[in-house]
Amino acid sequence: MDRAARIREKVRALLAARGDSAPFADADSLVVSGRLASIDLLELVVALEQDFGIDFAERGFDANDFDSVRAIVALLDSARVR
Amino acid sequence: MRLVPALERRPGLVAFVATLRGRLVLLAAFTALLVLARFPWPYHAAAILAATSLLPRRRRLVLTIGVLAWTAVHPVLDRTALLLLVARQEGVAGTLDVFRTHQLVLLATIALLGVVAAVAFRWHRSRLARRPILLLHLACGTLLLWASCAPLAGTARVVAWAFAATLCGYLWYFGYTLLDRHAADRDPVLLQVGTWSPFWAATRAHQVPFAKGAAYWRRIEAKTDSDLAVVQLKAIKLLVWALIMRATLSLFWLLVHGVDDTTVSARIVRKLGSLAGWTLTGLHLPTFAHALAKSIERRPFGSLVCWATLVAYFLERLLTLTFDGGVVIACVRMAGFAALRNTWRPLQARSIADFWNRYFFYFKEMLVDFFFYPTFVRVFKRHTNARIVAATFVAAGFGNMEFHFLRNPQFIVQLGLWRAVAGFQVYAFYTVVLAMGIAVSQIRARRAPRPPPRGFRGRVLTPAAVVLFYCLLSIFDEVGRSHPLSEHFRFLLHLFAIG
Repeated sequence: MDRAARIREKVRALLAARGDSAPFADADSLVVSGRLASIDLLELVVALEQDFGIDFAERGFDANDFDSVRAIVALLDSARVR
Repeated sequence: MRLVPALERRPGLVAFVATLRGRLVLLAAFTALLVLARFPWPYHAAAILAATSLLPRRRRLVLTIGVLAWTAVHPVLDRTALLLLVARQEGVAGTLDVFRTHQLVLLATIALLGVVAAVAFRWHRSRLARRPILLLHLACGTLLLWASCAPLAGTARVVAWAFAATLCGYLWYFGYTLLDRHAADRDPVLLQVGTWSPFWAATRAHQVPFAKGAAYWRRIEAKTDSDLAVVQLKAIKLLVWALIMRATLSLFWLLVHGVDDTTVSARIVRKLGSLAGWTLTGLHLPTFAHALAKSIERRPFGSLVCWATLVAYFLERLLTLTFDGGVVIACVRMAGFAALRNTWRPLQARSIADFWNRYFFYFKEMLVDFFFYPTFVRVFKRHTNARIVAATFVAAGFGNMEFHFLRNPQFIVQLGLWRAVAGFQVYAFYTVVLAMGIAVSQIRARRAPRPPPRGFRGRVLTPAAVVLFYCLLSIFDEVGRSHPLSEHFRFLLHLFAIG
């Protein structure tokens, strides 16, 4: 499974836990649109740390990096992770 | 059924509002609603909104000019009462122009923060700029200590307090500017100033940065005339909704406490009642403050009455916050920013954490941005639940406490620093229990992620249990320093006929 697909899967699970089964595109806003609460991002933070080895304590945390699947993939690209 | 129709989904209306004539009509309607909502200086607000509507490409600059003009004329972060108190204590109330001093210090603080922001942006990768929020909070605490404990006298102490209290007021707004320092599309300092306590904060001195900071503004700003029309129609809808909440509150006060108020909505309620031939006299239920006072006098009301006062108090606060936040976000939207609502269906919350997210969204966001994630990404990296507990305690516990302590510096002036800290025990207890509840709620949600329950349990029992938790907790949601924690506990125990 490629990185974008793994992120999509995580996002889909988070939305499902909030009772949101509507489809989403990679560019769709998730946090700014209110579909995910900022607190939901902690699951994505943990996933990115564990699966991709990102250290947010080192690089800094910015909620805007998590606003869409595309933004998260861009974050992974900028961090040049595995 | 919708109480307020979805205006933004009518293409003809959106097309009309996108025209100059449409904008002016909408602006006039919005101003009339602001007057009904008793917004302070509604015509000044309307002037700023007219400028942002007619000059949408320059709206950020207009808002910066608006912040400076509003601060010069009628400061949102008004510390005049506090400074008068200090001036009286120092015996200079007759000789010092406190209002002018306050205004000068406000403008000087904005200028100083502008310089600090420019430095932080210029050297954002330097060692000092790694933890600017921490430095900012330390500076604020030091200034507060200096104003209250340093051997100052007369005008010098008044000026020290003016700077300390003003910085405390700007702390959270300016914090969002510092969070923006690494952004590739970061706004220049001039536009950041427009986010520091804009005119919409004048409704209530919450000091919570509604609509957060510049980074959020850039993402929610209307880019086209059509976007602007949609977001402004949503502003009208929200303001109408807020006024409905205000009318409900008036009716609630009248029916539950028998208290009449003088707002337009109350007059409408009375008129409708008289047209229907009803005499609205109310239950004359005591207020929560009255019930607590009676408990402190050792002459408490019956426990059923106390339960009723507590539930009424909880609902009143909910309606008040929905109204206040609705007015503020309506103004934000009218200025061209598609901000989310502040309060959104809190009575449908399915967990303690969910309620916290729905009740006062921008306060929660502020604590998440400044405390939760900075802690979460740094501690207990191998133990996710421990990270959640630590980050939640730092945010909903410590951050919440710090915000409320700094928001009310008059207690330090009245009681002295140490008594003001000691007297904060009631709210400190509140934040600890709140943090514990939210942390447990989040861990439970992680352990068993599943779709929200349906049926009677999901729609009624679970939300009712959440409301009960917050209802009981509201006994301790008290930032005043009048009564010790034990008196609040006495009230709690009395509800269960204990003691």
